Amino acid sequence: MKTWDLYRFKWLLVMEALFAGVYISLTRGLFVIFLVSIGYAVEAISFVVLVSSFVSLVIAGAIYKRPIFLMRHVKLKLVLFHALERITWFFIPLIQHTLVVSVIYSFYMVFSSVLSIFLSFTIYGLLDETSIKDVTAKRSAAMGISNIVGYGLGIFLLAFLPYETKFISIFSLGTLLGLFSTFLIIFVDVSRLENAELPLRTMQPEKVFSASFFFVILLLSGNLFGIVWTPYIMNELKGADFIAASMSLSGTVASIVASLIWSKRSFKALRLGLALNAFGPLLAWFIPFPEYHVGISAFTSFTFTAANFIGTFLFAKYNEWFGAIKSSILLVIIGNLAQLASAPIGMFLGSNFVLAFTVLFLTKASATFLAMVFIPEVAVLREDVARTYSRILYRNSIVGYRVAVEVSRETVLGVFRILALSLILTTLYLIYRTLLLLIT
Amino acid sequence: MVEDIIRVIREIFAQIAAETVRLIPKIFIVLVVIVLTALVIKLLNFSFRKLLKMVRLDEAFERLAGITLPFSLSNVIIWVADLGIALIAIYGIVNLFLGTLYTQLFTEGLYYGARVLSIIALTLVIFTLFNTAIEKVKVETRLKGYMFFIILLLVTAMLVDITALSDPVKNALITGLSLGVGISIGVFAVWFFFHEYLDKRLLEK
Repeated sequence: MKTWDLYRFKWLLVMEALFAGVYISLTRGLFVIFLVSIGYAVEAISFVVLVSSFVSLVIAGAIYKRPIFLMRHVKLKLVLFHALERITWFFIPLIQHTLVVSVIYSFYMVFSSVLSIFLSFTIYGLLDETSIKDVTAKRSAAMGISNIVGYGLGIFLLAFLPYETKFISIFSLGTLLGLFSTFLIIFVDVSRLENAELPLRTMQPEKVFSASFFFVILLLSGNLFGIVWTPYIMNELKGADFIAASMSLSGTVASIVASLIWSKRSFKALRLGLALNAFGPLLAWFIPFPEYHVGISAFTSFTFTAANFIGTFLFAKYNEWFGAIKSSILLVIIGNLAQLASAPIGMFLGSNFVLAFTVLFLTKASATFLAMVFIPEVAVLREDVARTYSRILYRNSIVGYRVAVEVSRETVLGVFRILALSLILTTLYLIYRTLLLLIT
Repeated sequence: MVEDIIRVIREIFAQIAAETVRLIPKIFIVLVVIVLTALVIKLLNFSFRKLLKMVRLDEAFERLAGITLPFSLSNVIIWVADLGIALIAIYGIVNLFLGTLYTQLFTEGLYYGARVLSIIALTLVIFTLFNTAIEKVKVETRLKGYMFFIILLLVTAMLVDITALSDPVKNALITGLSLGVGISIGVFAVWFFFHEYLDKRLLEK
């Protein structure tokens, strides 16, 4: 790519993230409030998230199996899914029925999942490692800035719009702003991604495995922290609601600054951020003054950005031999997997904060341990030693996985067979019962 | 004279036209019913085939019962389902066109058909079991012939039940056949358990 083209490409992606940030704040950011306003309970909200995450995971898995979907008509699909994801929000508040909302939200999650794959594919497929890091950091910062603006706008509109039309207006505005980012995407040149080639074989699967494992655990810990922390501040420490809002604001501001600071740092520097991030749950647990948690939120966001960059940058590094297609799909699968795992764990932990913070600390410490020992680029050990550990972890996991699959495959198949036969017999019974009722 | 003929013809045509017009909605409904039935059968066949492919019913039956059936159980299930749907559709059409009297006739026909089908199914099951028993146990030809004879008598008794003969004749025939089967089995049992003793006594004489 020529310098000017590269510059234009990068800035289009950053601007897209800027508008997407406002759109996300006005739609997905207010979705839970919308659900509560139409009578959803907490369990139902978790269920909606769980189902939609599962659907997205299945879709991403299917694309990973058949990546040819990504390689044809890239521009058309990118723009189409970008627009569809945004347009879905226009329909969500129109019919305020729980089942309809769940179905439309599942559609949104699927579109969002596919779009994330296409956006990652665009970034990973057209840029080199340095540019990927640069764009990722700038997009992250841009999204953080526009998130603040979006949340401000959202709060203002929620406060002043009439109840009946509140969510229709806000979501429509979000959709419009989101479609503006779609308009920007039209100008992104992705012609070089058309018929992109898949690498014949993965050269160092153990590296991808260790990085993916680490990233899932890290994102899981992040999601869990989000689930546990706010109820802890408001219910346990009796903090005011503005403190929870301030925590969110300080976290976003810290992540903007962190994106710009950490983007140029080496893996060795980022691992310091990762290690410090593990202390976040302990600080949140042991400091009983709600006001201090605003600062802790800034600290955890700042360090979590570094930890998050480790995962993203590792994939940018592996991109050369792992391929942009697989990297982009795997990143989305990792995100969905972490979200899917965090919902039931969050429900299980409930308001048992002692257990919750212990689990949180252990999760973050596990992620740190994984990175320090099994990922050669980040490890505190010698690179060859870390690579050996990584191989051992990979092989043992593969063996364990195969044994588990072999054992459970037959059982699952048996259950499905019995279910299928029951379905057939029930259908037969229904047919002949109908006939009998007709003739008697 | 000619005018009268034309008037009569006109009246006939007018009546036919009026009846046809009256029938049109019914014909339309029947067409819809037929199309829907075809669609449901197609859909059912497709989904049943997929499900039965996953269930692998024939394979499972062979493994569990140790018997190879001369027909596919999966196909029988699909056929039974199709028949059920078709019967529901036919009942609907008969009810629409011909009224209650004919639906009763249809019901009686259905019961009769069910009896015929049950006899066919029973015969198939008996012959399959017979075949399997012969394969498993090495039976000599004479004994094979005897077993076949008994089965034929039993099937004949069942067939008599569905014939249009009068009840006393049916009773007489079935009683005769039952007696015949009973005596045959009795004679066979005597021969089977005591044939060595009987042979010895006959040789002595």
